[in-house]
Amino acid sequence: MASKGNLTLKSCNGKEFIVEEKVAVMSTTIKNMVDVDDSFAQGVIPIIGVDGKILAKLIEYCKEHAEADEDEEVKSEEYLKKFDEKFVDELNLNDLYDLLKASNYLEITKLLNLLCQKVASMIKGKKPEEIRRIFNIKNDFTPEEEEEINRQNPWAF
Amino acid sequence: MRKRLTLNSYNSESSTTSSSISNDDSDKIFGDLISSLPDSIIVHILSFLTMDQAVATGILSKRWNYLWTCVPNMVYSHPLWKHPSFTRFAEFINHTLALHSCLKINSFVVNFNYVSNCYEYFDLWVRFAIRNKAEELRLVLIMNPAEDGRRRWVKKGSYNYILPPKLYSNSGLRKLELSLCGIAPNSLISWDSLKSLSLRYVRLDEYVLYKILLGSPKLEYLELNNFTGIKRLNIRTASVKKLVLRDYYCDDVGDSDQSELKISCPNVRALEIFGSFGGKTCRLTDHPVSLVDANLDFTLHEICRRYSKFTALLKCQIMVQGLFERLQNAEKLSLGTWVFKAVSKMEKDGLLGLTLACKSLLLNLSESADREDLYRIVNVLEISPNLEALTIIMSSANRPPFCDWKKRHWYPKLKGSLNCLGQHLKIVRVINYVEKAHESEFLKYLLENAQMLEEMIVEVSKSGGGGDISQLKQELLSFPRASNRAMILFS
Repeated sequence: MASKGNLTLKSCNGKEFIVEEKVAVMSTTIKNMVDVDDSFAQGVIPIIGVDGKILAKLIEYCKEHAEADEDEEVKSEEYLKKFDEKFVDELNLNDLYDLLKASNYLEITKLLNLLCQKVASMIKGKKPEEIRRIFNIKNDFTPEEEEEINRQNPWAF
Repeated sequence: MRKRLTLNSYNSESSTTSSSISNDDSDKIFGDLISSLPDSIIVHILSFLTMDQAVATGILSKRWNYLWTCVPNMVYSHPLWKHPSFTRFAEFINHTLALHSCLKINSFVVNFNYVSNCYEYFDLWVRFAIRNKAEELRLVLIMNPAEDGRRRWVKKGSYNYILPPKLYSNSGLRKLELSLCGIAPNSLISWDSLKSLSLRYVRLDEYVLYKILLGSPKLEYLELNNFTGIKRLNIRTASVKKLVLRDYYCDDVGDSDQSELKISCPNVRALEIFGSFGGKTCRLTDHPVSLVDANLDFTLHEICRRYSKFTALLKCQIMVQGLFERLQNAEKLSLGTWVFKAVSKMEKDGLLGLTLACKSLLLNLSESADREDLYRIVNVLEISPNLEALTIIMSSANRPPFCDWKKRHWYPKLKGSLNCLGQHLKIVRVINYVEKAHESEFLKYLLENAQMLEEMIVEVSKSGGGGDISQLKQELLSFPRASNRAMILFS
């Protein structure tokens, strides 16, 4: 199989993207598919549950990083860091969730780490009330239950 | 050069692409989407938090109540700013250990401050990490140098906590960092996967160190931090690539102050020596042929304090000269304030008698408050003919201004006499720059004489305290340059 060949990825809403194989195999899931079954390399790879917009984002990320992996000289660490920062900063919450799920399903470890770190940084140092507000989490504890947890977990040291 | 170009091209590209992607209607949040993510993703998110923060998410909702118990990265930090008692901190850790339900953890890390009873908890923590097959176990003591606990551990010469026998044979450990733990293996050590080992506040003996090295065939990084008990450090295994030594303690029993610490590490690529070595000096007994990167930021204040001026000077000279003879081929060299001063003084007095092969040199003057530093920098440049990149970290804003070096008797002979300026020097970076007096003269001197200069980067001190920078900018930018490729950047 030619390592420089192109693959066609198809989103769940029917949008097709032609990408270089080295970009697509940043996803371990796709890499496994291509490795196991040659027909994927020629035909179209359906990316289940990922729409065109999110798939475009994923490809944007993988392109940058695949090129950097190939040749460290062209894209420095500093450059990638800047790219990563900008990449996550531009996401709204819905895209963030969709990308989290997609990178988890497609096993793009670097991106999954980056996104999880971003969410963690939004939680860091905030009070439960603030976190609930940011992420729209509904507190379904009764006041008694909440008090009980507060008592059990002496995290407020 | 190249990096900067790609950076610029990225910025211009992305401004056009980003608008085409994010002009969608999905800015509104529909319900509690984060809680609908699979457990594995939420746990992954929590693993980027310290444990107190991860546990605190248990109160968000029922969905989150016990997710933290599956977090594989367990990092605890005794928060300095809150001043909770160590006992409460330790009890919190133990409480979370009891509820934790993940059978395989990646890391178990406790950062703590010294209290006399801290040993009491170590056993449970170490055993927990072993049982859960942690790849990384770190008990990191952060001790204020002024604290007397530092003295106490060394005086006692014994530990309240000795590592359990089970730890000496562990094939899953990749990173181990211990503080205040006694290491006394009865049989052989077997750390098959261990890559990084840091021992802090530790009494070693040469036989234990030998056993550690013998049992860790993959060890790449070794750090001894606040250590005592050895006269000889033999790191002859080929795997160890980086050796870091910080603060040797001379204890009162047996170890006479006059002795040297003899270091043999022929295979390391990077060597760092920091801090103080008490009354001891250290010496590299053989030539580290693979050495690329050396970072020397130690002081011999203790020696100067203990001995007469003459003896102290002699001891310092022998140590510095000995080290530089061994390290003169390193490509990357970083010098701390004390070492920088010693080297430039020896060079000035004609005592050093060697040239350095380094291509990259970092001078950390952050602890210097000396009016003659510019002259010292020139001294060091004189013996670095191959230098390509020079980085200078300046000291804080309240230092005295530099002397006017143009008035010095040596200035006329300086003109154009530095070898590195003619052929090699490409990058000059000045960090923490404060404009007081004559700093800009030095920069101008470099601009005027460095024929291969590509970049001069001036990072202005954020604390301020100097003169007007905009004027400096104007002056430098309009100043004639020996190299027509030279760029001047301010940040």
